[in-house]
Amino acid sequence: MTTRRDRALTSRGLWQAVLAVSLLYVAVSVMALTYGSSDFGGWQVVSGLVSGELTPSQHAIVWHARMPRILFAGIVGAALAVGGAVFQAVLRNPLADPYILGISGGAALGGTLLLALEAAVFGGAMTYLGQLSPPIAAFIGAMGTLSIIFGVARWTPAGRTGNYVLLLTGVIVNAFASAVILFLKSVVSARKAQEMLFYLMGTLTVEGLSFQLIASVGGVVLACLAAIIWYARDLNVLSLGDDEAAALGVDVERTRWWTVAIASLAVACAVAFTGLIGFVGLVVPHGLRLVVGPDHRVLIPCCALGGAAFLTGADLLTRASFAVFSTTLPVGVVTAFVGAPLFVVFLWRNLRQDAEGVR
Amino acid sequence: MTLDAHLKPTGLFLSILLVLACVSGCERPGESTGDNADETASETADDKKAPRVLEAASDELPDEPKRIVSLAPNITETLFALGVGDRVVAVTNFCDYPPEVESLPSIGSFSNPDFETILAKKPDLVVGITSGGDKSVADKLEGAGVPYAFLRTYTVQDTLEMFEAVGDLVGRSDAGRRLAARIEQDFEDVRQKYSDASVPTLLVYGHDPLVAAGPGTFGHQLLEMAGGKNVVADSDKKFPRLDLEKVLALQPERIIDTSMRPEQAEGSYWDQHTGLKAVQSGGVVHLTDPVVLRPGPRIDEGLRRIVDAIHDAEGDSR
Repeated sequence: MTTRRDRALTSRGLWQAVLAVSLLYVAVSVMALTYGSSDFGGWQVVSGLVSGELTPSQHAIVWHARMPRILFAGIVGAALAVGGAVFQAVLRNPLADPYILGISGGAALGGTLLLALEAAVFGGAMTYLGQLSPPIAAFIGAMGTLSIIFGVARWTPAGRTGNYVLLLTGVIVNAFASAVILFLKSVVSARKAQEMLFYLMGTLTVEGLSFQLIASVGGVVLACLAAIIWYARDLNVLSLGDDEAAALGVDVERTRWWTVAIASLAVACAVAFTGLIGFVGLVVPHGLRLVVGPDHRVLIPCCALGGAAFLTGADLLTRASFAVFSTTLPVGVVTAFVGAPLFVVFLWRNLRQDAEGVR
Repeated sequence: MTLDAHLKPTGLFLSILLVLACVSGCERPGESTGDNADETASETADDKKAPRVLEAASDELPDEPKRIVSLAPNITETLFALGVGDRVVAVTNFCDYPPEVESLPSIGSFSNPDFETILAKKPDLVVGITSGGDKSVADKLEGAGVPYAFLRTYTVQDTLEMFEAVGDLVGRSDAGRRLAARIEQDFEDVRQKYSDASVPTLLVYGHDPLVAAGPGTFGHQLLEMAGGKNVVADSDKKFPRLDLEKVLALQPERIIDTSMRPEQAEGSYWDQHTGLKAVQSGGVVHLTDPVVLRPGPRIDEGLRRIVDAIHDAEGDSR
């Protein structure tokens, strides 16, 4: 039996795969819109939306409680899954997730610094930016650590071990950032510390965001995805190894720089608003690689749609589970509960395919 | 906790649960935002004089709200004390008094309420306090066009004014004023009775870290009213974190421990520190009932417990 990944990618195969994942995403999104933590659900929502006969509270539930979360879950899920796929290819490390290069530490540090110093240092800017200041600070933090990491990687006389330098610097920067956060948490007041904890926890409780803002973040992420798809062929070559890629005429340093920078931009945008949501960037690319094969021309668009579907579904479970626990879970709990077992299954399938391939 | 846990959502979630379990429902360790509040008060004071403790409210508020959602235990208690408990349609997980709230639906935890569940209750007024974790709730309610009001209850004075402000919000101004006057009278009586006493006392919120009530806090105010002398009254922090050496140096005669974790209620934490005068003389008292520090209508009872803890510690719950 030949598996998916033995076959060459055809144009038809690409469109079939993308269409299938798109349908999945649409189905999950419709589910997510029609169910939530309240009783208002199912056909009631659909018929109400179609006929336009919603009571004010039903209207508020659909447009102010569910819609922003669904849209944002889609955007963040796409950014994280594509980020994971890119980092795994560029760093040639199956354990790479979108946070491995210090984006998580940087974003958390940026947001925490702002909360710790807010009135004293950023007073004026904060009144001007209001609710947007923590995301902006987190974004600046993420981009700051990323530039440190690239700076170190550039000045290290590493040559062919370039991706190890990136990886190690990322881990160190993350560790350093969490130490600074711990320090800040210890010296600030208890209430500030609590605010920080909330900020760092990955949640999709973004109901207060305006649709314009969601659209802008979505636009940036979408542009990043398009750019990554542009690099898909180079990513294929790059995952063979630096020497092989160079021999095939790919400018390794340039491709690595651009793909990582673009993917990081998308991830930083997402993380700035939601905090750190784990497992999406790990489990979605690995799962889809098994289904659609390792060719990045099909893997990247499928990861975007699949990641969006995965996180939208996880958020749906989070909201629906309110009835059980009568408390709101962070979506990261659900992505881990679902993602970890899935990851093991994917690993097992992957090894079995390898074993069969050898025979 | 490892360093790494702080960047992992699951670890964070657990630590948040822990923090919430320790401080929920009673006074929130935090700073009074007196300066900001005065600004907002003067801004909104133009046409109708807004109460000082009303930190955020929607422009349109109903005169007689019929469907009230409470976002905090002390607000729930106040609503019931003002006689509008039958109009409360939902409360938080942490609301535990009066017993009637057991049968009311929950909108989630105190600091992280579920927005859709709030909307589904079709409230015409959502009342909360400002010291929760999630500041965006007001923004979300504003966006959805649901009337809301958030009040500040950091100090004794705040709490008395909160009673009146909630009374105004629900169309029971007289009841609000009466409640405030009654509690104020209770406070005055206790203050009179113990004006000569000054027992060196430390009021502790939790052990890890060891956080105590510093100057200007609700706990400090109750302590001093009850005839205690707060041994960290000269701290420059409102919620100073102490280490054991510091406590040994202060040598309080009474330690009032309000941390709520059961294994600590056994007294094991303090028993190992036999160098403390309070431990030797049986002056450590555990007051784990949330009524003790909850800035609500039963605070007179809370104050009485503190009085008992300070003045007859030997006969108490050790």
